[in-house]
Amino acid sequence: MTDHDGPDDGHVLSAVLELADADDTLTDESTVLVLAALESEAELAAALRAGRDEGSVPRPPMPAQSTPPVGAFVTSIRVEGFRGIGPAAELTLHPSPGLTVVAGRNGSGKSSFSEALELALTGDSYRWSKRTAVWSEHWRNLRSRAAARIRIGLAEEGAGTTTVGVDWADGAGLGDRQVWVQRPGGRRESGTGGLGWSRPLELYRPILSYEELGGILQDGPSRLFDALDAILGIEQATDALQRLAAVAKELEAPAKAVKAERTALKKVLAGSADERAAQAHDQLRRHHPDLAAVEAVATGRQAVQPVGDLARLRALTRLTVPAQDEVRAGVTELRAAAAEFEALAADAAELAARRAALLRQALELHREHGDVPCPVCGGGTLDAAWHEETEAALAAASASSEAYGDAFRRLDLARDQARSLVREVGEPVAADRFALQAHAPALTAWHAWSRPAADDDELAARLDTEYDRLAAAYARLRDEASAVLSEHEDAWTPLAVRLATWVEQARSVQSDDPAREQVDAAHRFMRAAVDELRTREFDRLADRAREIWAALRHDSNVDLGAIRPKGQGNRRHIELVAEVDGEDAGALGVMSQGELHALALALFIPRATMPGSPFRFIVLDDPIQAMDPAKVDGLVRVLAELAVDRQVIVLSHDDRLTSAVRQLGVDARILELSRTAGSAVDVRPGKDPAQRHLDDAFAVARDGQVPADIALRVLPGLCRAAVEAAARDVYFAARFRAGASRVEVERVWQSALRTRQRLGLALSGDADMNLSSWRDRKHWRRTALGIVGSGAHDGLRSDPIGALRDVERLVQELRLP
Amino acid sequence: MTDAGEVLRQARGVLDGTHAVPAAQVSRVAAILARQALEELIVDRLAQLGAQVPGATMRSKLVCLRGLDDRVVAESATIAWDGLSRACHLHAYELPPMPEEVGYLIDMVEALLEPSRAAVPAAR
Repeated sequence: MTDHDGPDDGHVLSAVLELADADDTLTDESTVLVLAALESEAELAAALRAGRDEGSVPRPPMPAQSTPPVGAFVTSIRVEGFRGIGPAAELTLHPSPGLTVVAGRNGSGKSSFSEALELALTGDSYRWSKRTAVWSEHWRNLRSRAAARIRIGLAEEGAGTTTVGVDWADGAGLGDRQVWVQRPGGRRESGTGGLGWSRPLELYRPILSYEELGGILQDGPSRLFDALDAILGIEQATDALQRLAAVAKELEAPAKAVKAERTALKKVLAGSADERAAQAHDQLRRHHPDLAAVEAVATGRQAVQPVGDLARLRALTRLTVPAQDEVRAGVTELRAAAAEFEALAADAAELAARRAALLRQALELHREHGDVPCPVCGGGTLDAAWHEETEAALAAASASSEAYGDAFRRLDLARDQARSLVREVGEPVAADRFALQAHAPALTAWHAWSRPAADDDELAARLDTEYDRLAAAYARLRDEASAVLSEHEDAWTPLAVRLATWVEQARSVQSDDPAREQVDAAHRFMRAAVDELRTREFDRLADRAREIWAALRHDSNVDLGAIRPKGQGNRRHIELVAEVDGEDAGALGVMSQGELHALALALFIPRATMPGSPFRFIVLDDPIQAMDPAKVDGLVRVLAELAVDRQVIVLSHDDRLTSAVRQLGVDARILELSRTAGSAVDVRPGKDPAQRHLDDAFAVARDGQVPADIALRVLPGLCRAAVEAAARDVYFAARFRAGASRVEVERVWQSALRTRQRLGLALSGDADMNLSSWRDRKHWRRTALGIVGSGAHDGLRSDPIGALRDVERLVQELRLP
Repeated sequence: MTDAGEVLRQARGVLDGTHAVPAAQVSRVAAILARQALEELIVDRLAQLGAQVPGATMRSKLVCLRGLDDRVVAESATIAWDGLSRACHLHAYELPPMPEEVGYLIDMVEALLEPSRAAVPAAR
């Protein structure tokens, strides 16, 4: 697991980039969106804006610095008046990688320690509230009169020893607890929010009890899916997917709205009698409506105005008749002119004019040819006397002829004006769709008005008599048409507004089209990428789970096959393939309860030890209840392996685990719990690794049958192992309590190769410490150092038991705080 | 060495039902045989390392083995010996061991017989 990068250190980013490179269909624009989505919501929004404005393409976010999460070890759990624990009892733990087994009979209070730890750290989590419902009545230790409290000591990398406290006042309910966190040199902060652990606790679940082990597989397929999915470390990718989905949905919403409105509009337009509605409907029916055309219809700016009933109706509203006084004047003038002309015509003015013209020609003839016989009568003679007489007569006659002409022209003008008054009145053309009651009378009136007149008298009489009827009929028609038109427009106006609004929205959506396509492509790509990453990470997790299963299964004939995420949404589940004797057995049905627990452990342990977890500890409460001895051995091996770089705390209700630990030669601290009267819980250190090495050494030294030379070969190694184990505990605990980084502490330890250097680290934190003055102060130190060093083994040779006692004293004094 | 191998084969035979042993006793008899084989094996191993400890307790021998031999070998031997010892004795309230469990322990001893396969077998 350690070769696997943590979740936030860029491996998701580089994996996604790799997939993006391999995807030919992904455009540069969409790739930029994917990268921005991986970064943050704000970056994605910025990238979208930039894309729309055709501005500069944002530079891909840089991979985050690779930093393993800050880890924490548990240094102590102190409980008072809570659950099975009455007077204060403290479980002191070594805040360093290593296996600690807390052994105690059922009811010895060991689960109370793990529950206290969980309650203090998880606080008000959903899981806790569910559990507390079960024992909310009995959480307080009945035998304890004192206030209940919990203190958790944590060695936080980079911070030092942090305390998490939970306090209840006397008589307070379980929920009325005060939870606080105190960092070294800091103030007491209320709640555990300051630790930033609420999410990691849900994700990695470093504390797991027996019941929950069963629950892992029985909570339902989607719960297991979620629990495992959350720890795959692909959160960055799933977050990006959610961001892209949200943006895609956001962009999709207006497009959908426009589409829905288009459908609604089509329906309304189809139901409208308005011909503009028909025009708009015709556009909206098309695959790509001409938005400009629709807009023109809506705003009444069409290039070609419709020539239908609506236009006719509109014309009817504009029908006019000449003004009454104008008509009256016209009639009077026509009549007057006609009368005058008639009078002059009676004077035969015309005959006179013609006679005058003839006489003027005769005068011309006389003027040019002199006296000649009259060419008209033949009897008379055109002479000077005739000439003079005729010219005088003509002068008088010309005046009478001019008056006739004037009267004629006056009549002509008056007639023209009267006729134009008639023509001025337009025909009321029927707007068939709009049935108007006033139309027929108006049409009749118009026909009567504009019928050709036989003479001036008739024309004048028509104007005079028909005008009032016409004017009244037209006024009624105009009013009715106006009313109908306005009613019609009232129906159209909202439709027009709706159409115009729709056009505006459709335009905006159209302008977003390229952006939407890019986002959709990015979204599709990201969905596939998440699937791919999930499968990859699951394979990794499954490999680890199978390793653990292999160690635990021993006498099981069930082989663990593929573990894969399957399905989506409500149907999501984890597919666990189990093989029995090589045959695919499909589901979990083939497993016994103990096997199910082993399987749950196999799934849980990789989860709790993911590299992204800030918890350097894992707590297992009674993991072996249903396990047979062979599986216990396997579990101890798995735990020992975990304990190389984790603080593994196992609570166990029987001695199978502890004896397996002893027998397997696994380095482990064993704490034994026992409960006496009044719920007083006693924590006694069991045999720790150093003591175990010493015990082995004593066993060999006391065995008279082991020859001295062989004992001499074996004992120094055991003593060295005992001293180094004690020194390591001391050094690690001191450094972790001071907030040192785990990697650094381990590096320093590993580079101190000799026992003396390691002793120096434990005593002063300095591998190069000069031990001589320290050594000389106590006599046993000299003997012990001689044994563990490369020096003489005289002590061992002369008095092996005494020499071992000296080593034991050294180990014990190292242990003292 | 060959003795240990022979005894172990007998243990396996008992477990596989090729010897006439009452069914209820199969696991225990196989465990007793396997433990004998293991003890001989450890003595041989110590002798190879130049450590003759004939009369010493088994615990001393295992400790010596840990001090002198490969750590993995010593651990396997310790696990196997402890497991087989448990299987040999009838403890109060404890059911006799499962044949599979004893089989697993025999696997471990077999692996010890073959120095190149000295690691714990992951699976049968």
